[in-house]
Amino acid sequence: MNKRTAAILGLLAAISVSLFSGGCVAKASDPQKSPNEFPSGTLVESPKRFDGTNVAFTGEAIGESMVRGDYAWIHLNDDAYYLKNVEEGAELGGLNSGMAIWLPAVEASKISIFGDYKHQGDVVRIDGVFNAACPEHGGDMDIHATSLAMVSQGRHAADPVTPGKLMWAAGLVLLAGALWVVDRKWDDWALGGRATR
Amino acid sequence: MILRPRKEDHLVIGKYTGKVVIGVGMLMIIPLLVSIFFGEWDTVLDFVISISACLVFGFGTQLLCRTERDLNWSHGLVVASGSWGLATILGALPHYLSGHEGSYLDAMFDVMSGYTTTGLYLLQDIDHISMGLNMWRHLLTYAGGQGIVVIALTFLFKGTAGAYKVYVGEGKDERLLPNVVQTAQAIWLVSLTWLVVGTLALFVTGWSLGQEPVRAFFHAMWVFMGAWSTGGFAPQSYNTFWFHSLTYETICIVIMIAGSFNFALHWALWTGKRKEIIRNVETISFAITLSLTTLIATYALAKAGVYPDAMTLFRKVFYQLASGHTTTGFSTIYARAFVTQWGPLGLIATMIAMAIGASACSTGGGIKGIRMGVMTKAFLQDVRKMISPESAVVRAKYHHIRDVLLDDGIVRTSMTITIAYITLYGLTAVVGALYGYDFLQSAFEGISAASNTGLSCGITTPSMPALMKVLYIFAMWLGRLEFMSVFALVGYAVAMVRGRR
Amino acid sequence: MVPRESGFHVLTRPEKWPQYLGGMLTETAFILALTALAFGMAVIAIAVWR
Repeated sequence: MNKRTAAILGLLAAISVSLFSGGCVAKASDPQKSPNEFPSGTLVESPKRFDGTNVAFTGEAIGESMVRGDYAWIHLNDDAYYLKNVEEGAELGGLNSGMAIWLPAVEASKISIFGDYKHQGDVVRIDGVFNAACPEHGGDMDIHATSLAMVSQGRHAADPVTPGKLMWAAGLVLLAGALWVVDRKWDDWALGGRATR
Repeated sequence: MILRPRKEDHLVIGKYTGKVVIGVGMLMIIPLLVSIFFGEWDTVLDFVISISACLVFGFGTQLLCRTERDLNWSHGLVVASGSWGLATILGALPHYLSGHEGSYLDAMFDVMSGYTTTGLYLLQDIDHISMGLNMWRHLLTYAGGQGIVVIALTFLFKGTAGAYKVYVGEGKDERLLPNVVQTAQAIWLVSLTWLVVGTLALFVTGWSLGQEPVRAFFHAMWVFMGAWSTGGFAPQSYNTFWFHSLTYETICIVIMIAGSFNFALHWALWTGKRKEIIRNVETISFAITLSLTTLIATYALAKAGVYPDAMTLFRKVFYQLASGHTTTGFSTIYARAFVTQWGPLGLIATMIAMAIGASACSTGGGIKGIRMGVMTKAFLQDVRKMISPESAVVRAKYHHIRDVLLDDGIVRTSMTITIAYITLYGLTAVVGALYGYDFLQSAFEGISAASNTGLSCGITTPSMPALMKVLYIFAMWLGRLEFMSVFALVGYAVAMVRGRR
Repeated sequence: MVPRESGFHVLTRPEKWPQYLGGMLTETAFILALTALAFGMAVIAIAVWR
């Protein structure tokens, strides 16, 4: 093996090691647990067991309520972010997880804040019947709720701008701009240099 | 004998790779504008940093690599695969800076999944990400569907002969029009027209389903991008299950399947050759395999008694299968439901659909309809040869835009690529099994990654082993670029070390 | 001014649009027919199971 091969193999090894160490920090030390006795994960994992049973489900109202006539669809997440989301600095705790809820529109209208980038949604508790494959809704896995109770109010959760990022942004913009100018003018300069000679 | 690349080769590759990376930077302007519009200032900074980084890299390489030479074939392949690699590293910046990714590897995984129109993701707390980042996720899958090189071709390359070589390197080999830049423009025309019509249809539906107009519009555009590019990204973690609507699902099915068509087929239909849709080898192949897999899955699920009635059963089965077969990856069931409700036979039917995949020269992945068609015809030809007299000449043809005589060269290429896909499917499945996952589930997930589908049965999570993430990234990349250009890149690297001067 | 001979200008001339839209409709019709075909298959599968 010559020096060149050794150097490249060494570089590859270094890249892989850094990738692995980078890839391994994905787990949070202590992510937020689901508030439910039977979390969404459990319901999806054993749908037959819970099919047609009464369940209580607590979670953060996400996105929006879609009103269809007298009823509405809402989605409740009971994942690691239901109390505090990543934008507010929650620890990463895996993918989102939740349940689709079909409930009277009047009940749904009690929710005032839905979770998104700028908001941590209301945490609500519903009681209803779990359907593994709802005959009324094209086989969707859902909960038909009869009542909804507020657990905790949502809030505005603006993600603050960090000064460090601002510095990086400014520096890189200047550098990119400079390179752009040099790239555009290069041929002129080269030609100009030749012409004056 | 391999020749060691010379300085000139590095220069020409560097120059064109730089151009593609500049293109990626330009693309980020759209999500930047969306973020500004919604006042998401932290995300705005993420995009400013990322755009600048792309431009610094792009202009930097252009300055270092000043050459007037045009690309040759191996350059084209290396530029295509190399720029996909670089575009992944730099395109992952907004994801990583958002703070929603467990590691830079995870961010790269998501971006590679986007470009390759796969749809698997490791982004955590997706339900709380900014409009800007959502725009970027979907835009990169839309752009990746047409091909990031196609974008660069349209806007940055000045119609050089070498441009065609990069275009081929990206897994597309059809010339819709004589000139490659015109071809790229025709591809854009088809995609943008569908974008307008599809977004409008989904927007009106979403609005009538109870979404706020602004949300309905962005959801419509993003879902369109996910469907058309056969990508499978959607703005919420619930994917298209979010909408709970037969109309929305039907529109998605139309867009997904239209997106899985060969661009040459689109162009033939759009220029008046209407008959092509029922004569084309790929649409026929797709119709046959889609109905067969539907048959298997319906049988399996009817037997398992998961769904209450026939209509419900069909709605669920056909949606997931159309999504799998077009390699989109939209779903209206939970990822784990593939295991807990569909069971082994349902998984297998979906796996077959995903493995075969979409049409060649489309936005989709998988073995591709044309290869299935060619291999079936070749098999039938051999059988006919066997039962014909020895002196008889048995000819076979297939129809793709025009009648093509089946020769051994075509069959051989089809077989090689098919074997490469099957090997890749097998490799991802075995590695998953070695890590202790159930073999069937690991095969499902592996095929999903390598065929750029993106349906998940729950293995792809941020806590999966790093090696599997790396493997899936490579599987997505190899599958999308159809092996050759990635191998050309590897060959180039080897030649740099071992080649003769 | 001489019209440009290449680019989007040529592809997007107004007289071309009826054909383009016809192409899109053909595609949509085919896909819906395909859905019907698959529905037929599903009916067979359910019938066999029963």
